[in-house]
Amino acid sequence: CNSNILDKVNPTQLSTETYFKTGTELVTGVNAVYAGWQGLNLYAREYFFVHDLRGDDMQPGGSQLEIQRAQLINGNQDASNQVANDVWQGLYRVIHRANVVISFAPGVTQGITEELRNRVVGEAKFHRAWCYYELASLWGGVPLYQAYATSPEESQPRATEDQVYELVINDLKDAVAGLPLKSAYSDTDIGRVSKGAAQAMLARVYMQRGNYAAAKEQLAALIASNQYKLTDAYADNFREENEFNTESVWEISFTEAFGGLNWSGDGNGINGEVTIRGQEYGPNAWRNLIPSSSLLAEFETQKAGDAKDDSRFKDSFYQVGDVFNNGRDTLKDVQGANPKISWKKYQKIYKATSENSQSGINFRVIRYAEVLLMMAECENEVGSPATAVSYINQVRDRKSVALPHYPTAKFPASTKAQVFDAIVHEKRVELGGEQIRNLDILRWRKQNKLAKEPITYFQKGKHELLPIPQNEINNNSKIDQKDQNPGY
Amino acid sequence: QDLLERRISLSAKNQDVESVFKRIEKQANVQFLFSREIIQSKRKVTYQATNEQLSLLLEHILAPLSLKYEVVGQQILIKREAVPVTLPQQNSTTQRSNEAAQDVQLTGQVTGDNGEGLPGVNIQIKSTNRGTTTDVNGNYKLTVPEGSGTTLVFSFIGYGTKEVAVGNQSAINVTLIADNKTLNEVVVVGYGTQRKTSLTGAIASVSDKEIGVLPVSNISQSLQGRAAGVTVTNNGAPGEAPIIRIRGVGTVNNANPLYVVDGVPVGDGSNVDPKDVQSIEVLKDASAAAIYGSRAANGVILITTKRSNSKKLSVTIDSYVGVQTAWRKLPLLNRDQYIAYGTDLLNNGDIYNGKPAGTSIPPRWQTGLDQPIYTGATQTFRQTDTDWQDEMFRNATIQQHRLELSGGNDVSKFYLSGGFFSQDGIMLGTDYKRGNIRLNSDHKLGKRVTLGQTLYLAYDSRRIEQNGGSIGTQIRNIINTIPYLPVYNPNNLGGFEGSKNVDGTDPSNPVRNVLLNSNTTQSNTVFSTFYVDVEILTGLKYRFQGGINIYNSIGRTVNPSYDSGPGGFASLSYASISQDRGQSVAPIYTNQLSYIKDFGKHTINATAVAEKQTSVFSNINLGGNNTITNAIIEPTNLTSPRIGAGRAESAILSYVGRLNYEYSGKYLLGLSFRRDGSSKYAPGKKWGNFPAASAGWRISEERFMKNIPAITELKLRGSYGLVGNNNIGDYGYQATLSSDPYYEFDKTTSIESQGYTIRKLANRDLKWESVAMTNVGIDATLLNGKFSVSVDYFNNLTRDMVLNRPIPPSMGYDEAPLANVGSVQNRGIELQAGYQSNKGALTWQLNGNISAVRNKVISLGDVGNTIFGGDWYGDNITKTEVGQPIGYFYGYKTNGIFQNQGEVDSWKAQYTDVVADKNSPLPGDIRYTDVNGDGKVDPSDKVKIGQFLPKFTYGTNFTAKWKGVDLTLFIQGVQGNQIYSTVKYNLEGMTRLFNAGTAVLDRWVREGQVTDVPRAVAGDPNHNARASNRFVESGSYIRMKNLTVGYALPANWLAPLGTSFITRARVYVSTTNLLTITGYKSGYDPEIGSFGGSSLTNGIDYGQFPQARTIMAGLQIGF
Repeated sequence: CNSNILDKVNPTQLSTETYFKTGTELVTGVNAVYAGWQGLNLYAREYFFVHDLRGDDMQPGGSQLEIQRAQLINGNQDASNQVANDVWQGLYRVIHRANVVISFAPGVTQGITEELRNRVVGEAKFHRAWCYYELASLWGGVPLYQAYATSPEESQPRATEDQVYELVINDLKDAVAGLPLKSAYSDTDIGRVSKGAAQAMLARVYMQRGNYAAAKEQLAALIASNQYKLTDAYADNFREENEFNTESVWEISFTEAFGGLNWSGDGNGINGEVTIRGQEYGPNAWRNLIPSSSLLAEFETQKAGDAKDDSRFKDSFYQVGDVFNNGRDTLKDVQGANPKISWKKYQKIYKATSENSQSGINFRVIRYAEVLLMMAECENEVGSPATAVSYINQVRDRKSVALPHYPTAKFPASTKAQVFDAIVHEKRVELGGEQIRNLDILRWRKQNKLAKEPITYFQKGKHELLPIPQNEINNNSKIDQKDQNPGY
Repeated sequence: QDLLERRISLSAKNQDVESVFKRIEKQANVQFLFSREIIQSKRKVTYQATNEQLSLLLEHILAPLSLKYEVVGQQILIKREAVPVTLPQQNSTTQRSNEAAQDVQLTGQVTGDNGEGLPGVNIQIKSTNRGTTTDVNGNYKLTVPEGSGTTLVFSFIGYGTKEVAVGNQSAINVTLIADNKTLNEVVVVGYGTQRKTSLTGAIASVSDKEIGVLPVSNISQSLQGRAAGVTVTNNGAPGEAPIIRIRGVGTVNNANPLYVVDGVPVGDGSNVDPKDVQSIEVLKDASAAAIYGSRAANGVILITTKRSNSKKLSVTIDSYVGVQTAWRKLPLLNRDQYIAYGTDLLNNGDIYNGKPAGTSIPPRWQTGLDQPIYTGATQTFRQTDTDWQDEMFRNATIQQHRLELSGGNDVSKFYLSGGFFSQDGIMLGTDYKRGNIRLNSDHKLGKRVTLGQTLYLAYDSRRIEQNGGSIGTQIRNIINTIPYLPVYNPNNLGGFEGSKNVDGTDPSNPVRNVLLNSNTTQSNTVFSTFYVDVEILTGLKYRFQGGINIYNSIGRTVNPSYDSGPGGFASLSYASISQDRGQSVAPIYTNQLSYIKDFGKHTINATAVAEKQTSVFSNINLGGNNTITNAIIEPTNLTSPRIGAGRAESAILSYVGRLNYEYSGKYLLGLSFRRDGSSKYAPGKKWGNFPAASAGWRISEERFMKNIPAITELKLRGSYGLVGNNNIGDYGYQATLSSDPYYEFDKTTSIESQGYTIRKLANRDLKWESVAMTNVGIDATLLNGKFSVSVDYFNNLTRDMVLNRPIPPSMGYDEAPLANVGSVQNRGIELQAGYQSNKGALTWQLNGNISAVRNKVISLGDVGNTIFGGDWYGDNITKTEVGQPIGYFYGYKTNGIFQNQGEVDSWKAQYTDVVADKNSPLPGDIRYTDVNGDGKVDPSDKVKIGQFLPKFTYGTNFTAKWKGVDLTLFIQGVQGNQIYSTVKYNLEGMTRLFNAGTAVLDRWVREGQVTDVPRAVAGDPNHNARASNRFVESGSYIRMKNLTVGYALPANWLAPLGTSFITRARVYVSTTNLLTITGYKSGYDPEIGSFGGSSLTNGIDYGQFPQARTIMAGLQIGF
């Protein structure tokens, strides 16, 4: 017999020896990076949970919360917590895919311009940096892969937090340099990360590191680029018809056009471009998390002595008796705990009778409003409280909001500390339920800026970080039980 | 008559007739059929022949013995003179005078238990030497003395002897029962057959009678409890193959044995009609299995289908119809119990969340229970109490109908069968149907050439269990769903009710799941082989066999759109339809040379094989949504269509050599070697060598044993060898790119951009997994074949175990690489014994087997020495580590329930539970054990809390016949294993609001209460439901697998129907799983089937489809 018949090459799948040779092929590599965010373990489900359960914007909508989610909101998670572990896995999946692009990019010779190569590498580095920033915020020093692993022996030990941030900052600098402005993208590529997104992300990271001056530099450049402005209607930022609007700096795209939720959801497959957030939080759906009492109390109302009701309250929340489905239905009979108030942001029922396990509303990861508020905080930190206040007031000037400028009765906003209070307040009401608050708490706690610990179960020396997933410890020969985070 | 022209050289000096026959058999490759009584096997023969024609030689040898011969197929029947003969005897004078005075003519037919006439049966008048033998159709004529005192003795080699009193009958038809413990039994081995007496390997043989008795669709199911060392765990869903393990679990990887059907290795034998099967041989040790080299590590199951062995045309109808039911129901809460329990659960949850009790009571309970169940209904929720078990389980029919024909002439013989099998599942929405036709034939072409073929056509169709293999099984939905909800709601799209937000919980309606959604597979199989045997020289034979297995399948998934009304949780806004078509074509070519030769006392049997088997699998799948209508159930008129296709090819090249050497019929030696090359491995790693050696000593043939009459046969055997496992996917070593990821970058139109990335870590060092097998065994046959026993000890060491090596999630791959990691040892003892009694009208047999295997992981390379499996809400239930059996259950240990705050306080003074909430435990919560004594209850306190591998497994089969009545009782069981029951978690885990089992009525509510069920609190702050020994129960069971009572209608009843037409008729009633005794209470069945195809979740009851109890009636008619 001819033993050549033993040499079989997979006819259905491409191999690494032959692919990633052209610019077009390299672009498909970075496309896969974006798709990673659509996994159930990231934006389709667990990413918003891990932040919302850890922060103080949310409370359970009743007793129906699944056990692994109940653990996180009560702070009694252990290393087998599925929500946290899924997010860990999802973030590393994106990192791996980004590493594939970064590793192959220099070898691409055909059909590529340096501009395209820089853009694609910039996109990949943005994603890699964002993931490591999330990982470092949630878990501290984590295994650091700068190239994709080619054998099981190449697992990495925990790096220090500084080492992780060093890579994050370098990557984001490269991304800022390599990425085009948002306006340079055509409509068919509008979903890609732009220079502005990289600048905003780098600012977030610098602020996390306490380097407000460097952050300010990035934000200033972003603002000066004239690419963004606030939308007139606050609610436009959470609806499907207004995706990629002027305020949008960076968003994860979803669409119902390709079918329903892929419950094994790893961000793969031609369907599964949807998120289940609507059903998770929906007032006439599962209502697993509802706005916390402290968040509700944060909003300005005339009843509480403020000059004007903050319109963002009704744009953020549904109450029993509210109309939905373009005014056709009235909300009644919501399940679970009091208060009978639920999230409106990102809920599909503004135009539908009910939520289901799929929603095509894009997640706005970074809005220009956040950029302005970050800028305000940087200005305040580098010693210009007055400039800071002007940036906050820009947010309050939004047409649909139109609240009186600071200083107000409650927020005098004259000293650095008072301005900080105003920023904290404004961020909470402007960005509530947008997975910003938890990162802020982690940052401010670390920088001793919290007047009062907002998390009731918080236990020093434990709850700063999540436990390293048990399956990471079990399967990574370079990490063992003694490397676990304190308290777990 | 070519076989009579074969040339024989023989030199016999005063040797037993029987041993001379055996020497002739080996040289001429023929088989003699004879009765020891007829040939008087110890009579001596002296004869010298050189290259003499067999026919001449036989005449020369047989004539002095007053014997004749007749060729029947490939066999030579030795018989007496056709007319009654009378041998000289002392009292012959009286006999003769009686004969002369009062003889009557007696006629009849002797049949085997398959209903075919047996030629050459010795019939003797008891206490005389008078008698006769049956003709080629099994008919006989005999004159016997009139009077009531005469008894006939029917005997035939391979069958139990039978005595019948003549009385005043003039026709006596007798059925003889095959005695499969006889010494001349031929056993199918790879690439040939061997006499059982010459075997040196561990081979278990199961006959057609045992295979055919159970109403099952799959041949592996019929092996349960039949052979020592073969463990079969049934999956309950119709058409689903069982888990089959030979001598333990050798690998974390796919541990399924290799199936070889009529000489062709196939993926599994699952769609072969069990009733077409003549015999199944299970090759257990290396000396037997190494002939299949790289695929034999988990044992080999050889399936031989039926062929015709008689010229007589025989027609059989075989038909049964039965009903299956769930044999156990779990006690679940009814409506009122549910609301009372739920109120307690939610109130405790509110208190835990710092809210006033009552905050979380669902709106429906407060105001909605008195509303009609749907608009237009008169019944209210409060009047509804749905028993979801009754809704989901049903009395399901099972039936099989078959027609079998066989016969032929001296040149051509055929076996033809057609069958139809149909089984509904005991759970709604599952069924299996199969129609199949088989034609097997053999033809002689001249003197030295034989040709033959097999052709099997099967069509089957299966509706597959919804949600099987996911943790939300139908069983879980049945337990969880709400008793006050009706099943149906005509106002909802789709027509089913579902839980709504006002119910405060979101279980799925299991009836909707299974009736609305359907997932079916239809497949067609064409499986055919063709062979040519050419006898080149005497003893030297060339055989070519070609075979092809073509398998086409169409899978259809139809999920129509539906909703559960306003506020309903479950809905689908479009119909989702997909179709997956696959085709596999696997041709095989085998060239084989074999040589058998006697040199004096030396016998050599050598075989050489070159073989090539390839396989191409192609598939195409398409699907999409229909947003308009549910009426179209094929993938057409779709929005967002999806399409994909693929192909996978593999090839295996093999060279095989085997040499068996026998000295004087006493000393046996076997050597085999196989070299396999496989496309599945990386260049440089493709080829593997699999040698084996074995030896046997037939102690009973030694002179010093000859005069111990009690011992008929005693053999000691031993073997050692290497076998491999290539149960891995194609292209396992290649680094490939996946194009699965998609993303929409476009703002204006819906266009998805494709992404390419590496989702699977490749491993170019992948090589064969190998198992070194050692086996020592003893076979003994005692008391003239009445009692037989075999004992085997084995030690199998798996090396370079191939597994999807777990990699840390931080590597970012979606799939783990295949890698050679670690080794596993399986050691064990097997005992198989049988006894048969043929005295008088009652004949019976009792067979039993028992086996014990100890499984131990010897090494796991550098994988951190642990592999976790059995995902359960982010936790792992099984652990595999060095020094322990594969996949043992792993969790916390409970230590009672805190009865009061004082107990909690004093415990908290000493320990902390890092898993529990900071405010926990409270009275009513479970106290967990700090196993390692570090003052903390944490994951390091998780220990072994059970194992799925039983300490031993056993089966015993009793068959008896008395006149026309037959009885079969088959009992089978396992002992010493545990089950991890997630069903129990669903019944009494109490983590959030769902319906539950009545065990929660015993939940802790007050101090001093003696219970092992903790308090009910939504959110479970103490993690009372964490993986612990609370959910582990004994998995031992003993089960009456089969009880059959049959009755063969007497010939005179059939006479009015035309005796010449219907030759036999049997009616029977049969049951399966009539009685089960088990320590396992928290699930539907202790036989826990597979889940999601993983070897690391064995023994976890996720709510797999349970076994049914079947009661059926059948009819067999022969023409």
